[in-house]
Amino acid sequence: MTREEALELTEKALEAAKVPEVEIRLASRKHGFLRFARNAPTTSGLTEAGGATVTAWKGKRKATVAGSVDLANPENALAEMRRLIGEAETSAALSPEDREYMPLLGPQEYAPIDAWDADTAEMSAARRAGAVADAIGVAKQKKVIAAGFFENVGEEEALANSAGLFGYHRGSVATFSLTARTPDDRGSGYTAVSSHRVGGLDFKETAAIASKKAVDSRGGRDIDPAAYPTILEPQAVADIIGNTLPRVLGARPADEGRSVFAAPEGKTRLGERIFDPRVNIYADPGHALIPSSPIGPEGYPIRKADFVREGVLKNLIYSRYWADKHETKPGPFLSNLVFDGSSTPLAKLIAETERGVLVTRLWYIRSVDPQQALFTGLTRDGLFWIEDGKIRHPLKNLRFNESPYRLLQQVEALGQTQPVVAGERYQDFRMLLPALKVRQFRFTSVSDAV
Amino acid sequence: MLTRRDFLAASAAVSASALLAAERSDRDKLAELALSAAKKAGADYADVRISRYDNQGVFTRERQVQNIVSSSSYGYGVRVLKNGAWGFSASNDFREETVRRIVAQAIDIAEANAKIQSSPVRLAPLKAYTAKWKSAYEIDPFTIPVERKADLLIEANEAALGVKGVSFVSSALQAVREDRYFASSLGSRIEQDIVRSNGGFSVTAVDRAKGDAQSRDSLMSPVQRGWEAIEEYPLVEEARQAGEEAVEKLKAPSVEPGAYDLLLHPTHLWLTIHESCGHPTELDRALGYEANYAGTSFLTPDKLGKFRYGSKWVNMVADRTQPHGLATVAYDDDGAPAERWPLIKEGVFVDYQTTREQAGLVEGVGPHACSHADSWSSVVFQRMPNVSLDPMDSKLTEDELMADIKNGILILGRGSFSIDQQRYNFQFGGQLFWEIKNGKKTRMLRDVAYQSRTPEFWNACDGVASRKEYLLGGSFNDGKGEPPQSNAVSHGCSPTRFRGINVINTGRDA
Repeated sequence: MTREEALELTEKALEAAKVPEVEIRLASRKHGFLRFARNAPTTSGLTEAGGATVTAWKGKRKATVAGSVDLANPENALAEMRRLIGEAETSAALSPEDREYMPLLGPQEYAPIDAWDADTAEMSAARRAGAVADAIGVAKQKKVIAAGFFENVGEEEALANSAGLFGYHRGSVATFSLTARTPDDRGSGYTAVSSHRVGGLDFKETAAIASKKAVDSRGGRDIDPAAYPTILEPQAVADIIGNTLPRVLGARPADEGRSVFAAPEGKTRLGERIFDPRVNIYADPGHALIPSSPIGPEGYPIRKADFVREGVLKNLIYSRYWADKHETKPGPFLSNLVFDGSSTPLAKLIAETERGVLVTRLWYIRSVDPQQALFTGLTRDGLFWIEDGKIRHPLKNLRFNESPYRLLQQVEALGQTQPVVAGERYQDFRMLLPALKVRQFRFTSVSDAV
Repeated sequence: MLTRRDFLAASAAVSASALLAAERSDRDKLAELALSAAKKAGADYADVRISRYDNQGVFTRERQVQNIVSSSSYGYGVRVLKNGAWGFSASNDFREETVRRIVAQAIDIAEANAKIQSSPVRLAPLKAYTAKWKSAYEIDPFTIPVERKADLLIEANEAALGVKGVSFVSSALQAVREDRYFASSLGSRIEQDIVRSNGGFSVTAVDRAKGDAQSRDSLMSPVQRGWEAIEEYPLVEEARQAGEEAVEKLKAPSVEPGAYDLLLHPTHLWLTIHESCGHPTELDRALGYEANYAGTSFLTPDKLGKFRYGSKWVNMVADRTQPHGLATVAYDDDGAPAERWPLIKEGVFVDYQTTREQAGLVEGVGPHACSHADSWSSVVFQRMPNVSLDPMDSKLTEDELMADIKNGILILGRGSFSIDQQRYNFQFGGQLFWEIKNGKKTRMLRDVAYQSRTPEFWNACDGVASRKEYLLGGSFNDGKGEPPQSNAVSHGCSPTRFRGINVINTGRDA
């Protein structure tokens, strides 16, 4: 679906609307994937899917209808989009009035984002199999057993409404991850790499790093679960901070007194220095390493915007309704996340640590108390003890009860950044994150899992 | 206001325009085309799934409807086995030339993978079936006007907001329909119509002076039923009670950490069963197929038939035939008939969840019809059946279980949950925590979570209430696989007692 095709389709479809306010979001996706385990391929596929999401307003009554749309065939696509508009109009007429109604946004300016690579979007099955064969070859050499996943996505999106707004974006991404386990099941290591240009990925090196972690993590020793100085590799920072912080940045829950950014007496922490002054966190859809969509909710543009600058909370996210109610601007919205690091390599962070824990990956992270932004989860695929500036031995995995909010107050040092792939959830959300050394990370029990 | 008849007419128009996806004869034609193209291209086996998935959600907060969202997704997926390797491709473009291209893509993938396959895929023998099956429901939830649904939710919200101290409430109703068609080169032609319903709310009380907030979510669970499940559930009454309990939680004492006897209600225990028994008894996990994502399992094949997973009270049954279970079907996505079989028998681990492809990977372990894909565009793999704690012939009651607790906690509802990737170490919260002292329920507690190790936890089980108090819990969204897929699954149990479990305090000053 090109920009021109999307524009023509949405214009024609909107002409069929019987109500004055309709919004259409189109998405076309081609997704190739190859999964492997026990050093051999398992499931794989290539799927092509198109869809549309239509919201119609009849006065202040609103309904949203989404459906499959055969975007490869414009005639069918138009008929299906018109049907979805009709269905949304019918449902809107049935709906009670939306007390938080906001009129449609008019035309907006979106920054052009270079996120598309045809080589990545159109990869062949043979190329996927070749990359996986290379990685399995390394695993076999290192005498470990590999399981992993290689996928490539080409995605086009368009948003149009009856107030004249139109936005179009397309992006590609290739992601490769590999878990190596030792044949005796006593060691496990994980690495993942991702880029919108598949040419930049090194499958053999990724397999070699995961294999080394697996071998090095064999036979983890016990330590008492307690708070320790801890170094988090960028993957672990993605798991505990990258995956949690963006989801608690809403202004409304803070204003309503039920978020970690709420302050007593109905106030929020906006403008307060709440984190270590070295902490800078922001959205940047045009970032060359992690380009992402500039089209936000209801078509509001996503631009480079600070959330935390020098430890000060600069912005919370206002929906259009909440912004209007508070006489402020909507947003800033985000489609990716950057956390600035330093030039310090991970090896130096380790060399400067007297005693502490090195975490390579975290897993099964769930909210325990939203008001503290308290999360629980476990370490996984490589946990190590550092003493006198050296990794001394692997550790048994540990459960933690910890808050990303508290960790950002506990910063001891920042390392180099790298693009990271979220582990368990939100895998489409792209992040550039540093290694992070914190004064304390709270572990609460030992796990026998390897 | 649209009448029920108008709404039905609108729905019918939608179905008619759903191209080939709606008609049986069109589906048969598409299946024949794809299966014959696959055979011609050298596939040893092929199947086609042509499906439509409808989903409707009504979302409210306080006194307003936030949104009414309907989605429908339809398309087809073709799976082929060639040279001992799988290939899969899917599309929602139903034109003949596209169907042929999709089959060719699946063949291309199988051929590419076969070159790096270490041993060929082997499938257990299976008969061909021709069948039409409908899940058990009385009232199609898609025929109920959305205004009626919104009214029910707003009434529940009002009930909660009527309690002094309640600040916020959000609520939702969800209806799901899966219209699935399966055809295989073995000759099977299977149609299945599945309806599921869900409802619930979250009530929050805020103490702004202290900067404290406490929530109480509904105890309702999703179920494979129609609108009658929503009508039977006392949602408004529960919302009022939840409001009172959220306010009481603000003032409740924080739990003292330590070892407690736990009495776990079915509205809570279903999730512990899911995480600590449902997942570790999946054969793909045990063999390393999920090592890169969901994880592996401590229940390795060497433990089969001898490992003491729990006490003699612990009888876990896998069942894809259980009425109203969310994972219940007549046939799985290999076209194999659904089964019921034991996983844990009197505490001993005796079997796995398996598919046709996994039969024979472990000596003595047969196929159990656990193949599933969450969409026409998703690849089929092993997913969880309903896994439940069977009360067997227990005559005990919840009150009798409580009477024998000196220092314990009764836990209801689903709270925070987390478990390691081999399913040993877990931590669960809940919605409601009641202190039990000398056999009596005394006062509400807060900030409660328990941590344990799966075999120690289930070996600490010393009482399960009878079938009279049995309830089904469950979730619409159990995640597994890469690309991730979401599976609906139920877990049934009665109130159950555990001795000496480690309880931690998750509060601010802990």
